[in-house]
Amino acid sequence: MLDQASPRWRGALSVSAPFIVVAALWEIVARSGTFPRRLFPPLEDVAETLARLTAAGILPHHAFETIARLLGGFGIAALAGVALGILMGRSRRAEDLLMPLVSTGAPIPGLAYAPLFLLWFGLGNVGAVILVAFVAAFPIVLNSWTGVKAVKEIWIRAAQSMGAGDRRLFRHVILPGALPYILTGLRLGLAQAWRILVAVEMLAAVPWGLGWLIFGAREFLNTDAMLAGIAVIGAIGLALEKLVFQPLERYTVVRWGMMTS
Amino acid sequence: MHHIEIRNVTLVYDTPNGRVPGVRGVSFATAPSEFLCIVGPSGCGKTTLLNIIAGFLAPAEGEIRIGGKAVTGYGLDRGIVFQDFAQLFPWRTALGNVAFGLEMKGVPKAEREAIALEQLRLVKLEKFAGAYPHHLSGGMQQRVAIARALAYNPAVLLMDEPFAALDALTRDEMQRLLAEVWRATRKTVVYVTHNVAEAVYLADRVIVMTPHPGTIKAEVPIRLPRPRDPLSVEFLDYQKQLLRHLTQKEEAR
Repeated sequence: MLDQASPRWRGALSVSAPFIVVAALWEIVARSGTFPRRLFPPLEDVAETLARLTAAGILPHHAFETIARLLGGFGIAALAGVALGILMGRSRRAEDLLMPLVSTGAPIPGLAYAPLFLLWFGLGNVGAVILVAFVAAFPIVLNSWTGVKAVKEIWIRAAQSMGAGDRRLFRHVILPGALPYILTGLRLGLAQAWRILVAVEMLAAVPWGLGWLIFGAREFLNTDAMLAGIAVIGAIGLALEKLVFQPLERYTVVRWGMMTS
Repeated sequence: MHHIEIRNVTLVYDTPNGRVPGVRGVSFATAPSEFLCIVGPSGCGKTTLLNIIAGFLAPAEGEIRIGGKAVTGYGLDRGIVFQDFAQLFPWRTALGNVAFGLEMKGVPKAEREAIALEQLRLVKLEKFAGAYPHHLSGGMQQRVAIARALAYNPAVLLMDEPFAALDALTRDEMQRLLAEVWRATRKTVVYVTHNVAEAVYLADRVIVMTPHPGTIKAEVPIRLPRPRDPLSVEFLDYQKQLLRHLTQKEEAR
């Protein structure tokens, strides 16, 4: 029994060990009195603020608004990006037309577009969601395109020889064949969406949102609230990774041996 | 009556160094249920020829008829097995792979799965119906590929060096299995290989091709009872005869 339990314990320990070390160092610095407590609060203050803001419903409201914008923007980016990337992979004309635009636009930091989008679409949700969708779409387009290009010719030939027409070739061969890359693109796109969203919430004058919570807290030196907001952002990112992407991969590309877990 | 008829087929490749003939003036025919092997060194155009019969390449000249009908593209009257193990769809189980052609044909799920299982039994893999290709060995993957090409019941089976990437022991086993499958299904088979012993073991008739350009050098009917003994004197004589055809050309050059 001990043999069965010990690897799991060791696994949990090795995952949490770096956090424990960083937390311990943080506590030492915070309690040494080097910095004012307001600027460098001990973790118990952060935990207390986290609990207080959660109980008051403030933090959940901020988190809810952020997640709604994230899913809205990322959802648009995922649908449009996968469609566009596959189109570019399949059609030479679309590739020639769009590839220069996409490869030029992709390395531009998303935040550079922010003022422009906020002028065009106004402060608030619309501008923020459109900006998130636009910025997150780039890695999704590029990876979907790569995925279609990586579909093996022999799969296409085999499927055609067995009577698959264009539509079924797409659904039964191109889509699953490109899936490892598409999933990678979605994961990168989500990371992009997160970055730009938190930043734009600080600029877009939205009344709720984790980015706004963090930005607004600076006025009253509420570093504990800032840290609480950062912790929630980390937790949401981790939850999406563990509860959405990893199960999706385990069920598809990992099970098919097209990607190692 | 001929089943497959190849008449004066020529195909030219455009390369940066000019136009290179892939195959030139190739003609032959097969009887129904005949096992025909095409033997030749790499570059002799044997795979090109198979791809023309499969309908993936269109010849510059000549025509191909199957059962009297002119071939203009790929079709369900031909099943194809490639050399590359990667031909199976990794996202489908062995059963799902074998059922693919029937699914495209619109055969209902229960029926196509029953047929697919029957085909897997033919290649002795019914126990692995639920396995994904990456869990199967190379030899098993090629057996699934054979079952997949047979499942929608094409009249012709086209095979492009399906066992060339296998180790020698597995290859022998595969050849025995294929001979059994062929006896059971009586398909017309066109089988491309560079392995002379394999051709003598499997074929009713062997066509020898030579390169630059790919032309037919000789046709050798194999008149040996089945199952064939690769160590018998007659078997080795046929091997020698084929090798002589393959090497003569190079001496003459």
